[in-house]
Order: sequence, then C-alpha cells, then structure tokens
Amino acid sequence: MNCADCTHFINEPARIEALIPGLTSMGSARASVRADDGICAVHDLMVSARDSCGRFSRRLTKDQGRS
Amino acid sequence: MNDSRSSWGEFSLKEDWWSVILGICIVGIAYALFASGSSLNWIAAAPRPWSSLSALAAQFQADWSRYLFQFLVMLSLFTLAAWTMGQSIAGFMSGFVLVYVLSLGALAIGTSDFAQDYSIEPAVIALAVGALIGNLVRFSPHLSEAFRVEFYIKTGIVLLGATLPITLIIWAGPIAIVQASIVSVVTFMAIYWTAQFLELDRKLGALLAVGGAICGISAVIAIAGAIRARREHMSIAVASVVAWSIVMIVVLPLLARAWYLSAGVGGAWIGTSEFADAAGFVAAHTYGAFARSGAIDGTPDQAIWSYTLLKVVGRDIWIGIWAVILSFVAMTRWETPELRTRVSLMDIWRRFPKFILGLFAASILATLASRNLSYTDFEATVRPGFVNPLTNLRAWVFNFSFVSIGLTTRLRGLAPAGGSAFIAFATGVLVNLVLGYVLSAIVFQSYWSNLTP
Repeated sequence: MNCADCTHFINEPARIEALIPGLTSMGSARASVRADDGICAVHDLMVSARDSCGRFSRRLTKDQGRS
Repeated sequence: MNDSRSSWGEFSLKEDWWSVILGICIVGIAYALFASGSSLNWIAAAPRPWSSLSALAAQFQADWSRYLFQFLVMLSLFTLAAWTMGQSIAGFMSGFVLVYVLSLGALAIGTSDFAQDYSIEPAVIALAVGALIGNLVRFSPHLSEAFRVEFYIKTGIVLLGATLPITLIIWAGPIAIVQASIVSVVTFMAIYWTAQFLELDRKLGALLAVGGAICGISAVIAIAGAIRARREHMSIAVASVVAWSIVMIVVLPLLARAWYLSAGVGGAWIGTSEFADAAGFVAAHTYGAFARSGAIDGTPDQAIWSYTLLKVVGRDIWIGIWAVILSFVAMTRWETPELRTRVSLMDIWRRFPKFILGLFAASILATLASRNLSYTDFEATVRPGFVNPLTNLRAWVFNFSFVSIGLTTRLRGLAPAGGSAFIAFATGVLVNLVLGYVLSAIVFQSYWSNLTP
C-alpha cells in the first residue's frame, strides 16, 4: 500500500526529467541523491516510495495487465 | 522501467555507481599498464598546442586511428551504462557522436595559440558552442539521451581522483569541510529567512535555500523528496539554480582575477560560491587558465584541487544529513496532511552521492602508484606513464559535460521564478559571495595558496 506500488507514482527518471524544466541542465533524475523518490500524479508532490495515502491505487504488473 | 528499491536496482540504475565503475575501471587499467611498464597513453589522445590550421591537420592525420579507437571505447562504455540504466541505445549512441565531435572541436580550438594567449579554456568553448547549437537547434528527445551533464561530470570527478593525492585530501579536507559548512549554514539561513520575510511557502524557501547553500540541483532533488515539496516549487528552485550558476561561471573567475587571487584561493572561492558541480568546474578551469598564462600566482591544478575539495568534499558529501534533518522538520512542523510519511536515518546513505567514493578510491590508487618515489622519479615515470593519460581522458569527459550543459540549457524553457523567489535567492548569492571570499582569501588563505601534493 506504499507509493512504490501505486499507479499514480512516477519514478521513471526520463518522465521526472520531462516534468521538471531545466533539471537535466545541471542535474539528473538518475542521481543517487533522489534515492527512490518520485512524483505523485495526484498530489503533484515529490514523495518517497515508502509514503502512503488514501488515494492509493495498485499498479498493475505486466502479467495482471494481460489477464 | 520502474526503479527497483533493491540494492541491485540502486547499483545498476543510478549514474553515481556507473561513474564509479567506469572511472575506477579506467584508473585500474591505467595503473595495471603502468605497473607492467606500459601506458594508457595511446588511447588518451588529445589535441596538442598548435599555431596554424596545417599544423592541426597534421596532428589529426598522424593520430586519427588513436581518436577513432578512443571514440569507440568511450561510446561503448557510456552506451553500456546508459542501456543498463534503461536509456535507448540508438538514441544515446547518435547523441554521443554529437557530444564527442563538439568536445573534439572545443579541445582543438582551446589548444590554439590564440586561445592560449587569451586564456580561453576548452571548457568555456565547449559550453559556448553547446549553448549556441542547443538554442538554435531543437533536438529530439531521442538524441538528447546522450546529453548527460551529471553522468559525465561525476565520471570526470572519479578520474580527477587519480590526480588528487589522498594525502592532500587528508591535509586540506578538514579545512574544506569547516569552510563549506560555515558557508552552507549561513547561506541556507539567509535564503530561508528572506523567503519567510517575503511570505513565500516554507517548503519553497527550503528548496531555494538548499539549492543555493549545498549542491545546486542535486540538493533540490534530494530535499524535494525529503520534505515532500510541490513539483511547481521544484521547478522554481531548479530555474533559480540554473540561471545563477550560469551567471557565476562568468562572475566568479572575473572577480577573482580582478582581485589577483592565487589559483588555489580562487578555486576555493569558486568551490564555496558556485552552485552546481559542472558549472563550477567550468569556472575553475577558466581560473586555472589564468594561472597557466602567468596572470595570477599558482598552477591550474591548484585551482581544480581547491575547487574539488570545497565543492565535492566540503559541500556535496553532507546532502544526506541535510535531507534527514529537513525531512524531520517537514514531518513535525510543515504538515503534508495528504500523506503518511516517516523519517529514516538510512536516507543519509540512500542519498549519499556515491561518486565521491570513486574519487577517494581513485585517489588512494594513484597515491599507491607513486609511493616511495622522489619528486624527480615521479616526474620522470608516474606523470608521463600514469597521470598524463588520465588527465587527458578526464579533460575529454569533463568536456562532454560542458558541451551537454550548453546543449540542455534553455533559459526560456525554465519555470518563471517570480520576484520574491528571485530576491530570496539573490540574497543568498550575495551572502555566499562575501562570506566565501572572506573565508577563502583571508581566513584560510594560507591553506589554499599552498596546495601541493
């Protein structure tokens, strides 16, 4: 029930870099300093993968998506 | 690809670890070749000083096979890393061709008599050429895969470790930490309190403060996650750091030059007052060029060493601790009611910039390579056989980063910061500049002027 498993949690580096203008100019979403944080598409906040909230919606795995 | 939270995911998907792997592999191979009586010199081709186009053409005619092999090796190494981190192989490879060609052009122009006479470093040329092309041509996201400013600069910093003796880190590191800590805390308070005075959001104030006080965009990324900041606020902090970093690339070397600071002192001031690692290296290289031309005292190496000690050892290394402290403050005082959050001391390690471990490892390896040698023996054997090839390769990798800064920086594309955020950040810049000067050029002047291995 953590953000890491939530469908609203964006932590793919390329998507994060696209959502923050200028980030790649002198920084990177692939850096260790980001740890496992990502952007919550519901709250529009940078959150930790270990956070949780009442809007959780489980992300489907590839196998679940096919069935 | 969803980032894995496993140790392997951290290891294989983060640029920091890849910069350590690539950097240490190159240093290790250089050391093995040197120890066996050979050298990495053949592959470490770089343009040499030239005074006419025919002389430059003759150089390339003689060395084309070395450049070709070097290009293929670098392309393979960086593409392997990019592919493992989930990037497009085709996109990265095509973009890397552009990065390499522009870097070659910058290095060639920077070694001309004209550029040397006017202390115009390849770093500045790489940045300028990249910016010119990047703002005239709109590249596809596919091609932009290879414009990895941070990845290249971290790999270059690991290679730099091979020319930064561990004895120097041990001798000057504590001073760097004291100086950087004083400036970081004071600058943070200046920006944060100004932001509060101007009634900005507390989390935005904190993001602006860490961006100006610690390590630029890396700090913004780390602290945004630690305090659960709004994406819009991240964009404002990123825009502030990028804009002021570009300004400081020009301002800091010129001010230091105007006040005739020695290379080591100027490098220390740049390390204290520049915001992003890559931008600071452009400024430090520029200042080192003044030393090469005899316009200031010291050597180019001293400018790079003191900059690295202040910026990397003094400031970057503490980002995890700042994150945990601010995370605790955010959780207890800056409510984020929509989330359930917690603070973990493990974040100190999770957010630790791992490339710094590579810097230390390379430094230890290089120090071992030259142990028990006299200065004369070092200059006769270790410098040409071990240090010089690594210095050339470092110059290449740094130039990849400087070209990439130019290619990716579009000031018009940044988020508008707003007047209050601008004033808060500018206040920190001013405090940082003055305090950085006092500590570098007055309080610790004797340390930074006398940096020797």
